[in-house]
Amino acid sequence: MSETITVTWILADEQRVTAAVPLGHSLMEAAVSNNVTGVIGDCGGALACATCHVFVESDGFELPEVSRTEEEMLEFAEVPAEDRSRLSCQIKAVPGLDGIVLRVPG
Amino acid sequence: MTDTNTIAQTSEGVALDPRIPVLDLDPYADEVIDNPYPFQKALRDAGPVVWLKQYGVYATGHFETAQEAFSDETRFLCTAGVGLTDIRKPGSLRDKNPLMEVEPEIHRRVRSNMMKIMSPVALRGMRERFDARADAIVDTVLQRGGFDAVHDLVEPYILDVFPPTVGITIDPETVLLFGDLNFNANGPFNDLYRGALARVEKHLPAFEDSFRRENMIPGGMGAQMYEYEDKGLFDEGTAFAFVRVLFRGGFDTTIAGLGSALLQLSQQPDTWAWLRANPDRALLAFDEALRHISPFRVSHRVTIPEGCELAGVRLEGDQKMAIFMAAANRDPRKWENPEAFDIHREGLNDHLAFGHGAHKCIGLLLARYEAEALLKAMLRRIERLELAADGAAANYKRINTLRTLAALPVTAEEAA
Repeated sequence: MSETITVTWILADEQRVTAAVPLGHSLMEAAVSNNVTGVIGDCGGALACATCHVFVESDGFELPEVSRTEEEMLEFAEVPAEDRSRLSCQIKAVPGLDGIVLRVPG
Repeated sequence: MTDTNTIAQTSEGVALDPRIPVLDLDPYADEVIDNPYPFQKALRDAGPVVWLKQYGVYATGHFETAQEAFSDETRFLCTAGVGLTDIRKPGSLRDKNPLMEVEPEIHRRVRSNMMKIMSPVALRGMRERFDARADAIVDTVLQRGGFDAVHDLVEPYILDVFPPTVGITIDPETVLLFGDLNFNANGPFNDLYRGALARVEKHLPAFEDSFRRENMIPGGMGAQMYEYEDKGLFDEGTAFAFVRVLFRGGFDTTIAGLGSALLQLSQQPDTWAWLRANPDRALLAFDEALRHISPFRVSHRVTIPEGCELAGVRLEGDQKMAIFMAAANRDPRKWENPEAFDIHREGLNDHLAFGHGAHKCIGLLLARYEAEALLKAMLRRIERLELAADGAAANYKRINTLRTLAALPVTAEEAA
C-alpha cells in the first residue's frame, strides 16, 4: 500500500465525495478514478482541456504556483474561473495537502 | 551490437564523451522498421544516452531521459528541426515549421494564439458532429459484418471529420500518400523517402493548394489562422504553414493510434466487454495504444550551442538528439510489463506519444475527441470485435518515423 492523503470534493449538488489519494497522483486522476461527477480530464492531464477545473474550498494549503499555461487554459473552462480556480491535473497529492477540500463547478 | 571501443572523436568531428556508448545500428533499416523491438531494446540497454554512429546524432530510449530532453528548453531546442535532417542546412528534407521549430519565446507566443483557435471550447462544440459521423460509419461497416478496420472504418472516418475541422477540403484519393511522405521526411534521405516522394510528387502542388487562403472553409480553424495573420498576431506568411502543420500532424497519427487500439481490442474480449460497460473510459484504450505502439516513433531536439549535461554525460553543443518515444514508452524502468496492452496500467497517461513539455502535441485534445467518438460508437453497437482469421499477422506500413497498420481485417458481432 502506498501512502495516501484524504481529499474531499463537494459536488454541484452539495454531495461530498471523500477519497484516499495515493501520493504522487494528480487530483484530476483521483477525481476520475473516484467518479467525481464534473471532473472529467478529457486531455489526460496535458493542460489542454480545462475539464478538471475545481475551486479550492479550503484555506491554508500550499499549492503549486499557477503556470502561465494553466492561467491561459482556465479561460476555456466551462464555468468561468475565479480566484480560487485551479486545474486539478496540476495539483499532485503531497503530504501537505492532506484534508484539502475542492468544490466542483456546476 | 554496441561498439565497446569508445572513440575520442567521431567522423563528424564531434568530441564524444567516452562514457557515451556508440551504437552501430540503423533505426531506419527495413528490418528495424518492420520489427522495431530488438533495436529499441538495444538502444535502452546501451545506456540513457547513446551515439548513433550511422547518423551522427545522440539518442535516447529511456523514459526519464526522453522526458527531460523534451521538456528542458534551457538545454534542448527545436530550432534545428524535429526531424533527423537539419532544417538550417542545405539538404534538409523538410521546411521549417514556424510553430515548433523556432526559439522558445516565439513558440510561446504563437502557441498561445493557436490555442485560442483550437480552444477546448471550440473543440467541445465539434463533438456532436464527431459522434454523428462515427455512428454513420459504424452503421455502414456493420452491414457487412466483416471489414477492414483501417481502410473501411478508421481512414474514412478521420478523412470525414478531420479536414472540415481544420477547415480545408482535401482530395481523399491522394491524401494518404502525403502522410507517407511527411513521416518519411522526418527520417534520413533513404529509399523509403525517395519512394514516397516519387509516388506523391505530381500531386504535391494540388496538396499544397489545399492550405492556401483562398481554399479555406469560411469560419474554420484555417480561415481563423489567416485572420490572425492579417491582425498581426501571427507573422506574415506563417498561416499557410500553420494550417499545413495542423493537418499533417493530426491526420496519419490519429489513424495509426486508432488502428493499433482496435488491433489490441480485437484480441482482448475481456477489455472490450469492460469498455462496453464503462464507455466513458474509452480513451484509456486510445492512450494505452499510443503507449504500446507509438505512431510517431522518434522526434529530435538540438543541444544548446554551449553543450550540456544529460543523464550524467556531457553532450556537445549544437548536436541533434534523437528521442525515441516508442522505445521510452516501453522502457521497463518506467512501465511494468511494458509489452502488454493493459488499459488499467498505472500512470498510463504519462506516455510520450504526444511528446512532453512546451511542445506537447497541440492537437491532442482534438485527436482524443475524434478517437473517443469512434470508440464509443463501436462500443455501443458491437458486442464482440474479433481479428479475422487472415488478420493474425497484422503488418505495418514501412515508413521512416510512423508506425501504422497496412490493414486490419476484423469481424464484428452486432449488439442486440
